[in-house]
Amino acid sequence: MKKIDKNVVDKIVNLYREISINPSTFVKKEILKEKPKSDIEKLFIDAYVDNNRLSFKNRTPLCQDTGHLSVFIEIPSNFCFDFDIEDELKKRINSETKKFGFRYSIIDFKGKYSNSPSVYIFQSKRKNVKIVLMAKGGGSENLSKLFMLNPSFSLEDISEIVVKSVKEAKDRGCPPYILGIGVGKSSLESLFFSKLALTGKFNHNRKDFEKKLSEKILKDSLNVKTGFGGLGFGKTVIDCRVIIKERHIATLPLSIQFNCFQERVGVLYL
Amino acid sequence: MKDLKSSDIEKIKKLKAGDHLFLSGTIYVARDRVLNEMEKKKIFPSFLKDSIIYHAGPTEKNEKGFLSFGPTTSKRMDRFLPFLFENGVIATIGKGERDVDIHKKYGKIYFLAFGGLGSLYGSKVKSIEPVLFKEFKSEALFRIDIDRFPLIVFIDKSGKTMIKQEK
Repeated sequence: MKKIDKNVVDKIVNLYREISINPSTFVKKEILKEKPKSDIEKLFIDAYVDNNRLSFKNRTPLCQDTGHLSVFIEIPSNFCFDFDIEDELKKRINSETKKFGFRYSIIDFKGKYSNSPSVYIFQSKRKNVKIVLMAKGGGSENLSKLFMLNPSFSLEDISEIVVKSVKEAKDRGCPPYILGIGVGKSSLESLFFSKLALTGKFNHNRKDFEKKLSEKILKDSLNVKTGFGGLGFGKTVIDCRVIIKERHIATLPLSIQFNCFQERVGVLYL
Repeated sequence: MKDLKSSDIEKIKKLKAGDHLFLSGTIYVARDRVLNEMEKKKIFPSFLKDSIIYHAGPTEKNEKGFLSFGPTTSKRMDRFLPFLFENGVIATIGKGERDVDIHKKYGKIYFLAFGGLGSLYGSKVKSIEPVLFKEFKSEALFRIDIDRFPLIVFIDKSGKTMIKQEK
């Protein structure tokens, strides 16, 4: 049995800082593809570029909502932690929040602020340990949806519900959006898989029907005119990542997660 | 692009939906928790009369002394608008669409700041001071001095919006 070294805590905390300061290359490419046609559109693009420059120069987070950090850890069966990884991360992140210039965005019911992550550990057939981080702000998180659909619903029906949710989300979660879709298993797992799908690091859109659903949603969402920053220009949805699992014969759970254009995802391997 | 000061109250009132501008001067910051507390306890400090409220919550200052300070989603704070407007707040700043009818009813302005760009707005905050409910950390009521915040008039005092709103 191989024990995972405590150095992993430093690696995760440093990666959290880096993903909070450096813009997603995928999103950057998608945003800069769009050529502004009006003064307001130009103002948005210029502000986006300037924000990236200032984050790099001043080492400030791209968004003041440094989010709730989710840490997904896939470990081979012969690896283990001999310490409480969530507890160690909580201590380190809380002590670095001030120095990093992050925000204590987590509050308990006594009104105490912190910056505590959630850690999920699951076994896999991998040969090494894979750790995926996703920091997500409250605005896009508030757009999350769970639907328990009729099993007779088709992929077209699912796409229609997703696109309707995108339309209803308006500009509340900082579009352009990335969508994570989880279909199947129970209500709990469909939400979990939609979150994994959203990271883009867990084999989404691999199966034919996943790819088909993703393409259909991307195509249909072109009719939603919310656009960049809610200003009505550019695509509202720039990526759709789908994971579909088996389901109970009487159920069809569908979960939808939104990410804002400040996609903060990182991966490391041990 | 117009350059306006937060003290140019009459000029601000005349802005039209779709106008874009750089705003400088003193404004106040208030979001979910502090607004809830103020409304519940009927606290409305006199310095907030004729002020502009920015819905946001700053990060800590980092080791280089810089912070990130972009807007938060305004929609959640729509329920506090009658309380703010009845007490004389002239405009709010935030991200995302919000209730148009309340603005029309009270003849108030809503400025859109770009969401997700905390470093940009943070770099334009020249001073920051918590003035009420300091124990609420990033959710306290702050007084800030800003230098050229890029903003768009999303809703003007006649209730016109820069983008047609679907209900």
